[in-house]
This record gives sequence, C-alpha cells and structure tokens, in this order.
Amino acid sequence: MPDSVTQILKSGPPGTKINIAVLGDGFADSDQAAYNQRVADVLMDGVFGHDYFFEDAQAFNIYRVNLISNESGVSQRVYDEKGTPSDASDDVIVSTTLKDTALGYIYSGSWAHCWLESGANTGTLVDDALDTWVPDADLVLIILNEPGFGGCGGGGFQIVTMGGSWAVMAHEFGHGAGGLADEYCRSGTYSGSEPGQVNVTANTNRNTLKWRKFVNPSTPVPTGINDNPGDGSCAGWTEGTKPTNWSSSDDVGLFEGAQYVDSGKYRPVINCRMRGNSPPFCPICYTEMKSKMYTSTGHSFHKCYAGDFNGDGKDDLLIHNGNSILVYRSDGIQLSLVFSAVERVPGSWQFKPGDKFYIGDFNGDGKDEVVVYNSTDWVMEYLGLLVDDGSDGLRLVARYDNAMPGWQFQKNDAFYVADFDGNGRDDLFVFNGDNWAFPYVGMLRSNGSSFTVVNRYDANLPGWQMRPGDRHYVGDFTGDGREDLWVFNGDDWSIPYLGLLRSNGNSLSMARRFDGTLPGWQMRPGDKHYIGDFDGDGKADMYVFNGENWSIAYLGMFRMMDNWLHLTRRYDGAVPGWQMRRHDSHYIADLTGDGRKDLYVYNHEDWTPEYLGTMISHGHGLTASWREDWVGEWNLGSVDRFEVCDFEGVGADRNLFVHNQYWFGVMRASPNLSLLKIYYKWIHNYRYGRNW
Amino acid sequence: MTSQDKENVKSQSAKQDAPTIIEDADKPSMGGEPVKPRRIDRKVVLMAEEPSPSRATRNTMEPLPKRRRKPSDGPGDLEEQRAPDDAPEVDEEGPGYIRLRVHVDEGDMTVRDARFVAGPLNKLSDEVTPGLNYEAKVGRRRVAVGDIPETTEWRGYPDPTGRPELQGHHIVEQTSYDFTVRIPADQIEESSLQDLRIDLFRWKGRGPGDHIDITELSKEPKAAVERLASLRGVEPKATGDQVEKRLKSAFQAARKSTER
Repeated sequence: MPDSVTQILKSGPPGTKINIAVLGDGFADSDQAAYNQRVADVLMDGVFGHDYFFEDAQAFNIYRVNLISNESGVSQRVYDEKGTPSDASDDVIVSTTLKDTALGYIYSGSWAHCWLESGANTGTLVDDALDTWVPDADLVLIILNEPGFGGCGGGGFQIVTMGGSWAVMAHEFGHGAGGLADEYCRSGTYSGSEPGQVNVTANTNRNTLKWRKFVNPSTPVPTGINDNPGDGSCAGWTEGTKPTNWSSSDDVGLFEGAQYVDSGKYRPVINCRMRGNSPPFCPICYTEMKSKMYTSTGHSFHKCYAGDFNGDGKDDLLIHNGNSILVYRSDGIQLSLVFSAVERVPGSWQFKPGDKFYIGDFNGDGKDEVVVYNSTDWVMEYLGLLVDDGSDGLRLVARYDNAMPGWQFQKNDAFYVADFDGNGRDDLFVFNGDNWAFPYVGMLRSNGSSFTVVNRYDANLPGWQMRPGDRHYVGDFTGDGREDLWVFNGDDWSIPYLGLLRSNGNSLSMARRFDGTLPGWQMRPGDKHYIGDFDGDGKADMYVFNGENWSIAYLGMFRMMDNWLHLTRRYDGAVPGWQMRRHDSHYIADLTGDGRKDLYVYNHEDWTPEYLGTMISHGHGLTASWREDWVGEWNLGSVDRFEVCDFEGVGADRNLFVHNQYWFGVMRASPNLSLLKIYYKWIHNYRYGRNW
Repeated sequence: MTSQDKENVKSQSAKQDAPTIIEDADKPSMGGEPVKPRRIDRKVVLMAEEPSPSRATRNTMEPLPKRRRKPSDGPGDLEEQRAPDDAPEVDEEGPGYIRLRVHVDEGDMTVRDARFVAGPLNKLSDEVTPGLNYEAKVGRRRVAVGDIPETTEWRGYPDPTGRPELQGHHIVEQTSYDFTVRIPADQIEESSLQDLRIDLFRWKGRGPGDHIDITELSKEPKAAVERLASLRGVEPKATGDQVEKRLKSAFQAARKSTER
C-alpha cells in the first residue's frame, strides 16, 4: 500500500484555518487500521470531541497522513540512567535497536530524554512527508507505534506514543495552538518580571491583574497562598472560607504556584487543563484560545434558528456558519453547547453556506427536527431531514438528491412548515413560481423519517391561478387541527388577491377568495400578512400591515369566522402606544401565553433611534409598548435580526433571540421588554466577568 | 408632512393619543376612493374564478406518479453530495499565498523552505495577540502579520507513574527554531525578495483576549515588547541550491495561479 493522506476534518481552505498534520511512525501496512483507530479515538473523539476543541473544530483542518513503515513498531534505545532519571547528563546508551520505519523515531521511555528522540534522518523525513501530503501544516502530531508511555512536544510539534491520553494531547495543543503556559507546580520561587503568557502572572495587585475582569470582587486576591514554599505544591484556596459552590476550574482568582514554581508566580484557577489535563480550559485559557482562533473559525451570529431539539419545552439555538452547525441547549436561563458538526453529520449531510434550515417537529416526538435544503452549492438540489441522534446531536435520516417521486427540486423552491394533515407531525408545503413554465405547489407529507408527495398542483390551485409573485402563509383557519394554506398576490394581477385554501390532509380546496378588498380593507401590493389566532378561538386569524401604499400606515386585524375574514379592528396610523411607520416590521408570537397571537414590532429606519415594541392582543384590539435604542445592554441596530422563541419554557413565545455578526442576545417580552442574556463573538457562560 | 409631524419623526411618542404620521401626503388614504384595477401592459388582468389548466409542455415537471412508492426506511449508503465540475479545488478562490518556512538561530533569520499554497488566506489584519508575532514588509509596505503560538520550548510529558522527581514536563529551551510566514501571492514577487523584511517580536500583552494593532507595537514599553530576530532581504542564490529552487518553484506556481 502506498503512502497517502486522508483529510479527516475539512473546515475550509488551508490558508484560512489552523492545519493539523498527523503522521504515524512504525505503522506497517498491517497496522494502518490500528493507526486510523488511534487517530479517531485520541484526536477526533478525544481532543475534538470535548469542550473547547469540540466548539471550535471549524477553525481546524486535520490531515491524517498514512505513512507505511517497512517494519512494525519503532526503534528502541535503552539508557543506563545511573539512578538519576531526571538528569540526562550522566546517562549512557546501553543499546539501540533500529527499525526501518517511515520517520525513524527512537523510543527510549526515559523522561530526561523526552521519552523519545529523532533518528539520523528524522527531520528530513518529517519535512518531506509534510511537504508531500499537507499543504500548510501549523501543528504536527506524530504518533509512534509504541505501547510504552511518553510524549514530547514543542514548536508546534507533538510526538506521542500509543500510551498517552487525549487529555494530555489537548493540554499540549493548549501550548501549540494557544501559546498557553503550564500551570502546574514544582519546587521553586519565581522572582522575574511579568511572564508573557496570559494564564500566569507575578502580579498580585487586583487592580492591574491581567485577568481581573474575571475575578469576582468578593473573591480575595491573592486567593491561595503557598504556606510552604519549596514543597512543590500548587496552592488551593487558603484565604478565608471557600464558597461552597466554588468551581476549581471555572471560578477565577489568584492562586500561587504555576509554570514550574510553587511561589512567586500565580495561576487563575485551582485546576485548569493547563495544570491537570483533565479539566476543561479555565476561563482565561478558554478566552485566549477563542480569541486566537476566532478568525479561523469563521463564526458569526448571522444565521440563527430557534427550536426545541430535546423536547423539554425550552427553545434551543442552532447556528449555521458555512460548513458547520452548532447547537446550544437552553436550560431556561442560559445556553450551553451540546453539539458541533463540521462539514457533515452522520447520514450524511454535507453543510454548505447556501443551506436553508426549516425547523419543525416532523416526527411528532415532541422534539424539533431540521429540514435542510440546498439549491445553490451543489450540482443538483438536495433536501435532507436531520433528527435527534440520541446524544444531543443530529443525524440525517432522509436525503433527496435532485428530486423525490412527484417533485423535482429547483433553485427557487420555497418551503413552509405546516402540519397539513393534523397528525401531530409537521409536513411541508413547497412552492416554485420561478423555475418552470408555470408555478407549482406540492404537499410533502412527513412520516417521521421521510417525505412523500401527497399532492401537487400544476399552474393552478383550486380556484386560484398561480403566479410567480404568489406569497404563501400557513395557518389553521378552520380549527380542525390541519394547517391550511393562505396565498396572496398583489403584484401579478390588476387587483390583489387573497386565497384561503383548506387542507383535508391530502389536498386543498378553496374556502374563500378575496378579490381586491377585505371587509374594511382595500388590498394593495404592499400588504404584509401575519397569520395567527389573535382571539384565542382555535382558528387562525390574520393581521395585515401596509406601510407603503397609503399616505399613512395601516394595520388590520381580521378574525376568521364561518369561512370569512371579519374586520375586528383597523388601526390608521397608530396602535395605542405605537405610532406606526412605513418600515415597521412585525413578528407574530403569543407573548403572554394566553393563547392569543400578539406582535413584536421593530423599526430601525424611520426614527432617529431604533424601536422595538410589543403589541399585545386582547382579542379585539392591541395595546403596544416599546423600548427605544437600548433593551438593557443591547443597543438596537439596523443589522439586528430576531427569532421568536420560548427560551424560558413558559409555554409562550415571550422570548426573542436577537443577533447580528458579533452579538447574540436573549430578550423577554413580558411584562416589559428586557434583556436576559448577551454574548459577544461566542456563547460561553462565564461564572464571573465576560469576554469584552 | 406637517411641521408637527416633522418634529414627531425624531422619536416615538409615549402618549396614547399621539398624532398619526403622514408618510406621503401624495398618496391616498384607505377607505377613500375605491381602488381602480391597475393596468398591466395596458390591460386589466383579473384572475378567473376557476382557472383553466396551463397548456405549456416545455420546462414542466414530470407528471405526478400514479402510484406512490413506499417510503424507504432510511437513507442507506448515500453518495457524496456532488459539487459542480467547475468548482475550484479549494472551497473559495483567492490569489494563493507564499508559505515561507523561516529558521531563527540566536537572532538570525534565514529562509529554509518555500512553497505556493492555492486558495484564500485570512485577510491581512493589523492585529496580533499576546505571544510571538511576526510582521513582513516589502519595502515599507506591510504584506503579512501573524501570531506564532510557541517556538522556543520543548517539553517531555510528566511521568505517569508518579516518581516525584519526574513530575511535570522535562523542559528543553531551544535557541534555534522554525516558524511560518504566509504572504498573499499578489503582494510579493520573486524580484522583490531582496526587499523583504521580516521581524519577529514577543509581545507580552495584558490579558486573555487582548489584541493590539501591530503598528502600535513600537509604542509599547520595552518590557512588553522584545524584538527577537530580523531578516533584511532574501538573496535566493545565498539560500543554497535547494531553497533557491523551492523559492523559484513557489513563485512560478504563484504566477501560474494568477494567470489562470
């Protein structure tokens, strides 16, 4: 078998990522499976399956270079350590047994010799392998086919045996990728200047301490002092009583002992990965890693989706960035990362920037699933259904390439999530008005693990001639549990039309068509519709807003009764508490949990400051209130996007995810608009302080 | 818009009876004159009560199958999703970049390898984070800036059996080491190598997440910034046959890529 390379983590072009090259030495042809497994276990499932590296996997490419050694195992060297295993100066080589391996490393198992050493040509062999197989390596991991313990690293290299753990490897990547210092202690006193690394210090002044923003004012500084300098131990909490809920890896103070001394130098936490390997990175190391890798991750908060992916009643967050997704779980108070996938999920779905996500409970299990559609990045269109994988992640259970029986995907297919057969499983309506000789509407029924086209309408819906400019909405206007299809066209005809098409689960029938006017409302092209049951009678009603076609802005509330839309209330220019303007944008949501759909309203264009407001329905009308410019610490802006959700799990849509490139926030609508959480660049729940 | 309205546009009024804002006085109010059908290509186009089927035969979907296929149990073994044939080898296009492997020995810097890498490079940023940083200039023009996490220290793993004297890393400080400089291919030519200047700094920073504009490094106190090594121009012939070849080949590949 010739040498080869397998890219096992594909995050992006090498010039935009941190590239890790993995080389094996002493793996003969017959050992390749063991090599592959070791890489999978220790690097992919180990280092990149946990905390920081799991979260930021998108910053890295990993190339597994499959070098075939002529012999199995690596060369061995035996030292006579003269009883001083920590001192190499008096050691004598007893024997060297050379093997013909790809890189020529020699394992000694001697601590003072870094456990292993290079052979005569190792440097050249490593350079050649990297030059041949990896375009631009930043970090190099070399695995020796040697069962004994050991590892040696520096300068971006890590050379390890089969005997080490992933946690030690993650610690070493803390040096190699993050430039972090060791935080463990040995006997010794430091008296030098301030160290350069961010996670160790000689400074005991709270006001100038480099990680002061993460230290709670109630925490003493220093927090731990070594009472017995010279004993080689790292100090724990010694100053007063340690709070009962103190976390040894997440709560920050100033603890004496770090970077190979036990006094005079301090570390931020009792036990970080840079001391004990197993704990996750402390807030200081984590923040440094995140900052250094931020550009390489390509992460932003542009594409955020809300969904209850574990069925606990609280809406979680899915973030899509290029070829990756991250899923954060809500516990009602904060968000925590539970899933990170780069390039693909098992199944497989390969993520791309053009993926569009549709969230719904497609299998009726009480948890939300994800339909993902891509019509721009591949040679054909793809539709996939991603479901809970049983361990907080997602896996693909159905994929349709180019077509499904009865529907051929096209670039401008638009999907609408709706349980049109009322069986508790969300289905899909799909519309295409652009890519064929005439428009199509399809009804795609979900059985929980796949979709079937149960009906298709070519050119016409019952009582409705489809046109490219048709705009669709879903909502159960009959109250029979089946979500129906609403269609409006204000552009393609001489007068605007609104059609209400009832679903019987298999097909649609025209229940009512409004030509040009609604009761008390002259329809115009700029009408914007929001479908929802605003009076709590179990039938979907309709809000209509028009800010562009009249001298003033109008908002109408139309109640559905007896297959007819009745005008409940029309607001001309103002809702009590809100002066309507041309660029008001609305989001429909039951803010109070009373079973009546209300409105969020946002305007960042027509006033000097931005306004975010709520319009609460009492069934017959609306009452509005608003915040100007700021909601708590959130400075409203034109780049802000909103996702209605129930983050707190109160049975109402009283929360908003608000997001833009760098910032992500969670707002609460009632009783007043307020900000619950705010995150900058990344979502992390610091016990105290924050990363800005 | 009335003067009162103009005053109002500055901010929402909290008053329940706040005046209506006239957005465009030239437009009508709803409920006035009935809206006349607008003409499209001089015709009034209205939707029929029962539209007739389209007669189009080209660019239409295949007919809906008469029999529905039983849904499959799972995705089975799926092929890779197919990228267009003309998709670039790397995901995004860019001019490519020259990757220089630079060797530092006691403050002296030499180029020991070069290659061209296709695809984009992270945008040139002036910001660096604490640790080792490099700055590359051609003449006075900054062409690359970067962070280098570590170079100078080699560490052996702590002894797993707990022998007291072997706890912690076995540390070996290196006086010579390599690091990588990446320069966008459209920012440097082979002929400008003699004007290439690379400086290696160690900036101690202030805390986690700190960034600094590299142009501000010189303003940092000396205790915070140390210049570790410098390279002043590269004369390919002086780099040795192999490196000279590698430099030539890298710039050749860069030229080819640019021509494409």
